[in-house]
Amino acid sequence: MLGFSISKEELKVFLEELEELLQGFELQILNLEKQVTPEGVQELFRIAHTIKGSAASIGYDSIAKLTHTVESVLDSVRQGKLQVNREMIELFFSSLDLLRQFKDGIASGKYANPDISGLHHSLESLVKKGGEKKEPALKGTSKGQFSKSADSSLLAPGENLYEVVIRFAADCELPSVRAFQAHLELEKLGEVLQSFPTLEELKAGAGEFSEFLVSLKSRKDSDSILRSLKSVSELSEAKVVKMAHPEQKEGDSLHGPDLKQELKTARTIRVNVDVFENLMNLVGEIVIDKTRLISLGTELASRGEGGVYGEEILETTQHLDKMTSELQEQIMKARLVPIDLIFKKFPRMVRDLSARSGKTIEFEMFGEDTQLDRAIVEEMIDPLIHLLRNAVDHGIEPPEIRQNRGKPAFGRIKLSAYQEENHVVIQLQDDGGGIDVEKVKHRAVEKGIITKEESKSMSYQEALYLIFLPGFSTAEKVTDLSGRGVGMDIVKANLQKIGGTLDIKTEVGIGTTFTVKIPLTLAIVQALMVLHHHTVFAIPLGVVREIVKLQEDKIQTLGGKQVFVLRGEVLPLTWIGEFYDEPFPEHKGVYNIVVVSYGESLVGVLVDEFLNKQEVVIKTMGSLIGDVSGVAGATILGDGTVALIFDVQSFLNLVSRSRRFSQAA
Amino acid sequence: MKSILIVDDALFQRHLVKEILQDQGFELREAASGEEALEKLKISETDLVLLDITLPGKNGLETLEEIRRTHPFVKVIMVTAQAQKGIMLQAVKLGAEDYLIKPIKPDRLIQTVRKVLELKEN
Repeated sequence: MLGFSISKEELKVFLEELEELLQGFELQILNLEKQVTPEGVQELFRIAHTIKGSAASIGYDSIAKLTHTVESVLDSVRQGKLQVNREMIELFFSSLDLLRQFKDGIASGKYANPDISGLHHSLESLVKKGGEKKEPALKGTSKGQFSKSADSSLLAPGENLYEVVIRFAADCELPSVRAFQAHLELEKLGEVLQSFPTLEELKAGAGEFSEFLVSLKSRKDSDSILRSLKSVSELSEAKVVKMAHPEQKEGDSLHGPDLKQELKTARTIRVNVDVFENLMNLVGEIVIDKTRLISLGTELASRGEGGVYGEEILETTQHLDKMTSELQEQIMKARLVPIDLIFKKFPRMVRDLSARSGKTIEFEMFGEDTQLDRAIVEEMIDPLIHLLRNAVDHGIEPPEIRQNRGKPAFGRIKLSAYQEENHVVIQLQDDGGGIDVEKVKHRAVEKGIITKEESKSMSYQEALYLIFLPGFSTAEKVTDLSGRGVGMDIVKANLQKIGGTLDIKTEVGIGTTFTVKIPLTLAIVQALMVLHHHTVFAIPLGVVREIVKLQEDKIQTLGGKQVFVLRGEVLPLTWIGEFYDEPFPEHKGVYNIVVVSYGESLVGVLVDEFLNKQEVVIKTMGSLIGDVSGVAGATILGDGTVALIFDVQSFLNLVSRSRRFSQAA
Repeated sequence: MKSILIVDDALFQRHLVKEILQDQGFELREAASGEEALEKLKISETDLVLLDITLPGKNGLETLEEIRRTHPFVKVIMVTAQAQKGIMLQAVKLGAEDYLIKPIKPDRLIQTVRKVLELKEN
């Protein structure tokens, strides 16, 4: 019977994996033939076991049965009951051949649980040989560890005596283990005075029994005891009966000295992530109220109203400001984890990668204890892995080339992290061959990512960022490490998601430095508030380079698109309505432009009015509205109005589809 | 959303378990060894680990022991193809919340996972 019906794709996975396992199986038998090591036996056991598990799951019973006997043989070897000999090796090889036949049968659709009895029998008789020797005692269960003295029948105030009766489900696989589990649960609630079967009997393998009886001394009530047994699976029934006791005081159970002691000793508590998110949201609300209070206070003071109270209000709000900032900081701190969590995987990774590519690399890390928001750390894993792989694969040259260039044969890669105001900077430096921009352009044209004409008009920076486009790879030959053209675009995508920026500095023959700058937290950002069409938008300060006021004559049209000249450089100019086909808001006089960075390029965003700089709490748009391109979320302002948070990256991505900005990063 | 880490060296087993659990509203992650599981536990919030006994390198029991030491509040369900009492006793003693015996029955898996995560029956 199939335990679970599987699809064609899954069967493919199963067969592929089976082939891999069989190859491993073969290799291990060969090794075993040469030399018997505990590791080799264990590995062979593991492989047989894995095959068994997978085969049994989809109902290939013959395979499961055969591998099970192989496993039993190996288990006897592990326990020293059997020696590896010629006969055993031959039997293993025969098993391997048979398993291969099964596999081919399954692949061609002709599998029908074939007969394995001959081989099975031979293997079984091997196991039996081992069984004739004296069976060593069960390891790992120390006597008397759980059973306490049963003579303390005297009950302290608040304690009760219970009789617990447990029955097992008919299909319960290991009743004695379930009984053991129940025993452990009950131990947590009080003292087990007696049980039938006893703990020792359970451990030694008490035979058939349908009931487990426990007499328990506890301060808990019967309901709590019953509830504690809910965690034990495969029970058909549990009954708790309170035995008569002269001094029953139910109320005492709450104030017993044990409970107090328990509370005193618990120094850490586990906080559910949801609670944490809520807490963060609440702080967000307080920040909003605080902002509102400050604006009211300032308003009052500027009008000269409120007299002495006005000043006091202002003072109090300033204090509140300080306190909320601190509260915010503390909560944020609790969410921070050291970047070491991901860094520490890297030395091993670099070692393996360099070994495979035949390079020697000295890898150094700095600032592992730099702290980051947990969510951001998770998003950084893939980008960092790909940057590192890239450095090993494409950055560091092979030793011969390095020596020709007069560099030491071993390459150097340095990974460092440090905090800079509200950002964390992660820097990856290698002393490899650097990025040859001409080669990059050539490759991009070859791959059809850009046209030859485009490659000519591209700036150095723009060309450099081509390596982050999907489908790009400059490796001469595809390796399994990198060079498939997938990966580096992940760097871009993930960084974009968390509002990070990437900077590349490279010199041919000298090396490359990638500098990633990411915000400490995603929940609260500094933003520039602007007004557009009577709507307030918040533009995160991280992307704002500067704000400029330009006269109308500085705005020009180039190829039907608006541009403006800033210190001699021609920059594209867009406006929030462009995506909605709103015409260019042409007018006389001064244009207010926010210059934002879009990857490595600058783009101007036209707005009606600049308002102020302020801290905003990012709230999601909620599930009703969902993701809106160009909008990263919303925030509530001091006066209670809602402002949309402008997502520069995704907005410009949208706009640039219809009009080509240099889509650097 | 509760997050579950499926630890098994067999890709196929992981697929099966994922297949069974994927419509149950869990966030599912995988690890192919005890070491990988411990790494993943460090970097991502996990509520429950489905832990195979037989693993390359650190075996299931050793991994369980390590998890209990480093992540005392993560729930663990041991998964095994051997209905070996000694090992299961030890797993329970080391603090496994529950165990399942292969071949995994879909209903039993879902029921056990929900129970251990203290979710209501659906």
